Amino acid sequence: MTPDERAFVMLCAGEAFVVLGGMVSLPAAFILQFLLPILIFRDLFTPVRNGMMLCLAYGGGLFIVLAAGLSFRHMFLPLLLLSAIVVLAVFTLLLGETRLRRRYGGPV
Amino acid sequence: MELSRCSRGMILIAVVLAFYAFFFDTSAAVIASGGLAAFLIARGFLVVSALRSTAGSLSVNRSLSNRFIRQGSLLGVTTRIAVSLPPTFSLACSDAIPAGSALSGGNSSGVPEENGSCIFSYTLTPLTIGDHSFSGVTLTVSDLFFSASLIIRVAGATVPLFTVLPSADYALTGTDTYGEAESLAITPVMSQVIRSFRKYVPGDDFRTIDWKLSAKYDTLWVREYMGRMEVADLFIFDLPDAGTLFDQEAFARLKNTAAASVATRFRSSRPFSILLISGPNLVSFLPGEADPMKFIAMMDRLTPVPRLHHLTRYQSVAALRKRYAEPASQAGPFAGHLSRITDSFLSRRSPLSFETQLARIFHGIRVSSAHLFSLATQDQSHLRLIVEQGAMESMTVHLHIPKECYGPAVRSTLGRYGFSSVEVV
Repeated sequence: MTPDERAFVMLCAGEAFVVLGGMVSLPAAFILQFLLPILIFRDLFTPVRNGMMLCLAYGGGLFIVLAAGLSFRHMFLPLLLLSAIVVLAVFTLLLGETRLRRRYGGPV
Repeated sequence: MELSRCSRGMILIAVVLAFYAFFFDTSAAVIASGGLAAFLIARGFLVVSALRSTAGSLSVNRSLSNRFIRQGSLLGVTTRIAVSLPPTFSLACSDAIPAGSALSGGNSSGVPEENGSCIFSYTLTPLTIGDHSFSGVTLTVSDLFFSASLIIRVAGATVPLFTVLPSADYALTGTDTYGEAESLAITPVMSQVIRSFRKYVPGDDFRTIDWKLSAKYDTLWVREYMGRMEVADLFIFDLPDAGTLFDQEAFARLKNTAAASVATRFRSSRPFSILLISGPNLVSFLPGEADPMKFIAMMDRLTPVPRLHHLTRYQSVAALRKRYAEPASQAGPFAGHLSRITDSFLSRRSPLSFETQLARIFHGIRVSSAHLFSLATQDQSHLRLIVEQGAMESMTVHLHIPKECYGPAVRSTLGRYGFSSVEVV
């Protein structure tokens, strides 16, 4: 098993723990979910500047998820809201990539 | 931006958790699903940011072996790339070769060293004449989850320009794409007409130097003549066997020669045919080809192929009949027995499938000349078959062979086959 595959298996197992922990305590599930990628992919968080940026972005996103999960009794609306945010984020990513291509693409 | 296997798996987990949360109203599953999505999106933004900063720090220094080269000849390129890459990302660079050129040797892509610099040294074979610039530099930033590529064509990544000159004198071969045709000037003395003058390029024939003009401008000028020349209508490439050892350098030189010959032929508006064989195995046949892109794709296919069929000192029925005709016609019991034996087995002998394929191809295209590029290693019976089948259709076959493969034994063997000419490259 390669290190990448091992990390992926650990992530799957960790998510199961998050779901099980969330049945007992939601804050615990939040903290566990926040720590899970940091512990598994710790190399990505090691450089100070990049690691802080990734931590902040990831923590902010997770807080929005938690807020959405706690605001509604049923999960349909939070999931809908999160899906919209994900679609918006993907469009922003694609837009950023397209702007890069236009900036550096030059005359074809 | 492309997803890696790991990120695809994470998306799958997030979707499964989202469905679980939807059907069972579990907040924890929403947190887990949303957490994974948030992590991936945050990492995606960092990848784009890394790509932007890497592209901004890129510096390209490209040098050429010559700014003026002949069509089909080799152009040496050395590209030095320097970038700075944020940590936790990996980077791959590649030098995009100019349109209308084929990569002949070396490697135009690689991974920068620790200090962010890399050097590519490779050779190109330009196939189209005119001024050309490079297509830029491709950067690929990747990490465990994403991979994003960017082709940089801003100034500096596409220089220097180089000029490709025609590989031979201009031929009067019909009309061009605009319907115009060149014609000889009306003169009482028929001789070659000078089309234009240009500066001397290494490799030019010294006899074409115009000494008067060179003396006047204190630099060498050569004359470009108009005139008719033979244009080949069929190119046959005999690819080596992938299962045996062969001279790589000789094969590379033969490929370059073939590319130059075909590139020259492209200037004519008439289509031509390309036949790929490997020994007595037909690999591919492109009849009436006039599309340069197809040709470039075909040049990439000029690689060794595994041979399914082999011949050993094979001779066709016609060749055997000719060989035994004289001794069998003499008087005596031996000649009588020989005549009966040869008649009995030659009358029942069917031609090889390779012979049948050659006959069908040559009869279908009906050309006057063919150029055969071969290493002539192992058995050369298939070369004899090509010459024989060509002769049946009144086609002359010109052989091009590397000098390493043209030893005394091969020279003696091929000398008996009846090639119209043999060019040692």
